Amino acid sequence: MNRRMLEVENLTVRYSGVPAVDGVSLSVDRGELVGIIGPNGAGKSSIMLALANAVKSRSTRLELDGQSISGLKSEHIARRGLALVPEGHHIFGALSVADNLKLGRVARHSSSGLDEDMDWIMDLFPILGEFSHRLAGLLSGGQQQQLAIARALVSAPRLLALDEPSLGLSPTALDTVFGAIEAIRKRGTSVLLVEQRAQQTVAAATRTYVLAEGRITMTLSPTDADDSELLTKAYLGS
Amino acid sequence: MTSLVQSLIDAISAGAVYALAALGIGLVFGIMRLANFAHGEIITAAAYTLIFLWPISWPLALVGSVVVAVSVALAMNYAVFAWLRSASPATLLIASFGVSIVLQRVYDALFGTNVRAAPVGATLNQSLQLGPIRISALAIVTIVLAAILLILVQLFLTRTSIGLQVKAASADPRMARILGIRSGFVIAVTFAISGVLAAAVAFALTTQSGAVDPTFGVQATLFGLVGAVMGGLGKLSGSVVGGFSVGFVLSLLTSWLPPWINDFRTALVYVVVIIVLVFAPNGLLAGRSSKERT
Repeated sequence: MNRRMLEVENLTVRYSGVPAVDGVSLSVDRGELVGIIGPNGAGKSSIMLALANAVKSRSTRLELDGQSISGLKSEHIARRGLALVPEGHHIFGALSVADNLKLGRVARHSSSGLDEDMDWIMDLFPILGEFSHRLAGLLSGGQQQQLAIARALVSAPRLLALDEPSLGLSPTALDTVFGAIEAIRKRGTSVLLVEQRAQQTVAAATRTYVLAEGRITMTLSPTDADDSELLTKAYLGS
Repeated sequence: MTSLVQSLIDAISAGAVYALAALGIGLVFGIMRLANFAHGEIITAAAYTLIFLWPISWPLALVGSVVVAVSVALAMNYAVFAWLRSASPATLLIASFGVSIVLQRVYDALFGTNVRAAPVGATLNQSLQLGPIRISALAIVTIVLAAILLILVQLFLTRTSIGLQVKAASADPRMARILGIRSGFVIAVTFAISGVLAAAVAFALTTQSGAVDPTFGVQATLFGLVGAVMGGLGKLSGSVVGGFSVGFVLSLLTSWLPPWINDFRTALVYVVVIIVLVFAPNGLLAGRSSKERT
């Protein structure tokens, strides 16, 4: 069995010729939680979108579970097992919570184990069961984030790529989301987590890449989480 | 009173036809921001099929018209629009004009510019006598057919996995693809449904007129498009309400206006449309603003 779940080498994303991501290499092992932190505009979201081929990118290697996903269409990458939850939830507001979750099944390989997975997901986010028939657009920001993560989990992904799940959440919702991320990793799903909340991310992840101006400038381990000086330096680059 | 009921039923029937045309246009617009002017040529293809096959076998004509309409809809998708998926709505609209003109010339070449006629659904042109009221059987059949199709489309969109995928891809195409939804397939399904709806419109119109020429579907498409815009493009209920309103008002004007002004009824419909759009620029049931499809 392949140890590497995600292998990225020399990933570059350019917008109108200007590099947003400049030669980034990173990896996520099976069952591992890996973080990416960095200031606004560092290129974090571009990396995530590039993984799902939702923006144009170039790389010398882009592999999911040992197989190249370079150049595949977004829908095929999803069906290979990469579930991206982009920044801003992107739930379907005019559809019910239940229908949003049903859409998660599209990328799922088989329906075997679906009931079990749904039970687990509903335990993780009980509010979604309660509001199952409500229009997703009527949920609060935190609930929409939970729905977006739950929808991704319905596809039984090999790698869950979460882009700033904490954005705009209340402290309570934040605890729920971070708790869920930990539970997801413990269940064996590999997680790539992009975050602004440096301390929480560094503490939770096996390793955390620090991104600045499209390049990885540092790699942090969980023991660095309490070193506020280092985290400040990682962010400010000084 | 009697004539009021009759003209109201006729107006509902006319509204139902344009509601179907507007829904077919609205579905495709929703999923790829294409205001498909060539929808009319799908209607025309189905109408020719009905005219040619009805004298041989009416079931064959009905099935054939649906098959031909769906085939033409899919062919224009794969031959032209599938290549322009990331183009702007303006480019798509102009391309649809091109497809429309090309198909009209193809119909010219194949069937001539003259009208082709056959008594399609002649029995439906009889009237039913209900007490003092005489109702056109075709009007009733058209209303029932439209109601069934609207319900089926609604059930398809809300109760089936593919229908949900169509709604998702219409709302947020990039997120839909990230979820694994195959946009090309979903768009093709939408074109196929618009083909079925076009065949229903063709049936209602050919039964009324019994004649087809190469520009047969243009008027229904124009009114369908106007209706869809008036109701709110991008919102299907808006398209249906808008299309229905245009047909309804047009039919009532035809019944009620004195002869000297009846020739201007189409202009009067557009006056109503302009007034609606001045007060509700996004349409009666305000849809989303246009979005880039990539």
